[in-house]
Amino acid sequence: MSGRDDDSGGGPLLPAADRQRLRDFYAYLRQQAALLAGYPVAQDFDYDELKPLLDYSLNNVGDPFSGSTCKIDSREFEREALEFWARQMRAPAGDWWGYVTNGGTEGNLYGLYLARELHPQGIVYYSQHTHYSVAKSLHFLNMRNIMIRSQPNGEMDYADLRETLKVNRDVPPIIFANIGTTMTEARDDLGEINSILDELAVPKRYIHSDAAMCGAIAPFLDRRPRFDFADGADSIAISGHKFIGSPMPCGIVLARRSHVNRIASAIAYIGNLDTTVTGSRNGHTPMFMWYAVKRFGEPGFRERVQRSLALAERAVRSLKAAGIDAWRNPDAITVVFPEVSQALQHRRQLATAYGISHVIVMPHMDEPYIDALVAEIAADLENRR
Amino acid sequence: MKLLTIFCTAADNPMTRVTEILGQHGIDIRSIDFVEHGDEALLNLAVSDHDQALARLIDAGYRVVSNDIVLLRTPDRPGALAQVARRITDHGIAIRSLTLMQAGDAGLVVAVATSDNPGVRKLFGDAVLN
Repeated sequence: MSGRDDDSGGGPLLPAADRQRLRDFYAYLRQQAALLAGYPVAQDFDYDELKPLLDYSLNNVGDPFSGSTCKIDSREFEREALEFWARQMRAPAGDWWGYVTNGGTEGNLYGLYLARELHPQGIVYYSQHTHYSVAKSLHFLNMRNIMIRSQPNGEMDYADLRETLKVNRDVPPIIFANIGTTMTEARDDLGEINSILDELAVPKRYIHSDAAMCGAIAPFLDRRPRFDFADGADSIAISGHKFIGSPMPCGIVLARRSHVNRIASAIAYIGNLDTTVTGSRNGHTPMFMWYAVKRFGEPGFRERVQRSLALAERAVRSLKAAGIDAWRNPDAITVVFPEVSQALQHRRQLATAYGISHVIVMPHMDEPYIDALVAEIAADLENRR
Repeated sequence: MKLLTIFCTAADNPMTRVTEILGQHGIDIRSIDFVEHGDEALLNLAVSDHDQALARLIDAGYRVVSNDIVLLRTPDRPGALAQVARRITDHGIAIRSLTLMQAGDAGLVVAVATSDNPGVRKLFGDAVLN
C-alpha cells in the first residue's frame, strides 16, 4: 500500500472493474454518512496524519503494559490513551489496568469475565434496556442472570433491584449498569445501586459500567453522573467509535488492577499472564484513540459535549413546537420521539424500538443540519397522523 | 414436540403475516394457537422445520422463543422475577437465565432457561404459557 490519500480506487493493483466498484462505494458512503442521524457515530474526526500507518501491520498482541519481542506495535501510544481515560474515569492511582478493545461488546465481555472469575457463584443483574449483546455475552460466559425492570425513561427500576436482591441475598450480585442505554441514553445511578447494596448489607459485590455510549460524555458534563471508579465501579467499558470517533470500531476497557492480578495468578499455569480477550490486537485503533486525546484533550471533549447538548435541546424544542412528543433524558444527546415511517427510518438510519425512534446528536452536526432533520421528522409524523 | 411462541399485541394478530412468511419458506404449520391476555397476545406454533421457522420469524422482526425456554405469567410487582427464580432454585432446579419478555395489564411474561424444563412446567402449572 502506498498510503495515498485520494480515492483513486487502489491504483494498478486492482482490475478496472474493482476500481470502479471502490469509487462507487466511496460515493455511496459519502451520501449515507451525511444522512446518518440515528446511530452514535461521531464524524468530526480527521486522522489524515495517521494514514502512513496503514503501511504497517500494527499488532499490540497481549497486554499493553508488558513488553514484546515484536516491535511493530503502538503500545506506547495505547498506554497514553488509556492513562487519559483512566483519569477521566477517576481510576484509583496505581490500581487500574486496561486495553483498547474491538468495541464496547468486548469491553463488557471482559468486565463480566472478570466478575465471573472473582465471583463464580454470582448472579448478574441487568436491566430490561440493556444492550442485546450482553445476553449473548452472558450465554457465552455461562453466567446466571436475572433481568431487572426498567423505568419508562430506560433507567433501572431500583425498587425492582432491591426486591430482587433480597430474594437472593446468599449469592454475590454482579450488577451490570447501563451508562447510556441504546434507545434513550438513560443512565443507571451507581449511587442508588450502592445504597441498596449497603442497605442490604451485601458484603461481596461487583459493578460493571457499560459506558459505551456515555463514557466519553459523562466526565465532561456539568452535572457528573455517578458511574465511575470513584462511584464504585469495578470495571468500565467505553466505545471509541461512538462519541470519540474512529474509522474502525474500537473501545477501551478499564478495570481495577487488583481484580486483574487475581485473574492473572489463576491462569499463570499457561505460561502467560496476558488477560486480554484476544491475543492479536489492532494496533491502529489505539493510535486513533491517542490522536483524539491529543487533539481534543479535556477542553476539546468538553466543548464537543456542550455543543451536542445544546443542539439536542434545540431539536427537542423544535419538535415540541411542531406538536411532536419529543423528549430527552437529563444531559442526554439522544432525542426521543414517536416512531417514524419505515421510509424515514431507512433514509436517516434512525434506530427504532418500543414504538419510539431517536436521533443522536453528534459533534459533527450543526444548527442547519438539526433544523433540516427536525423538518423531515415533523413532516413524516404529520403524514402518519 | 417443539413449539414456537411469538409475542405480539392483541390488535396486531400476526397470523396472516406469519403464515405467509412460513409458507414462502416451505414450512408447514402443524398447529396454531392464538391466546390473548388483555392487550397482549401469544401465538403458539408447531411447525415442520422448527429451526428454520425460528430463524425466518426473527429475521422478519418478530420476538420468538422456542419451548426450550419456559414462558411463565407472573404478577407485575417489584422482585417478581427473583421470586420466580427462588421458587425454581428451591426445588433444586438450576436456572441459566431469567428474562422479562413482556409487561402489560395481565402481568409479566417471563422466559426461563433451566436444567429441568419439565420440572418447571410441573411446578408452575397454569402459569406456564407455552
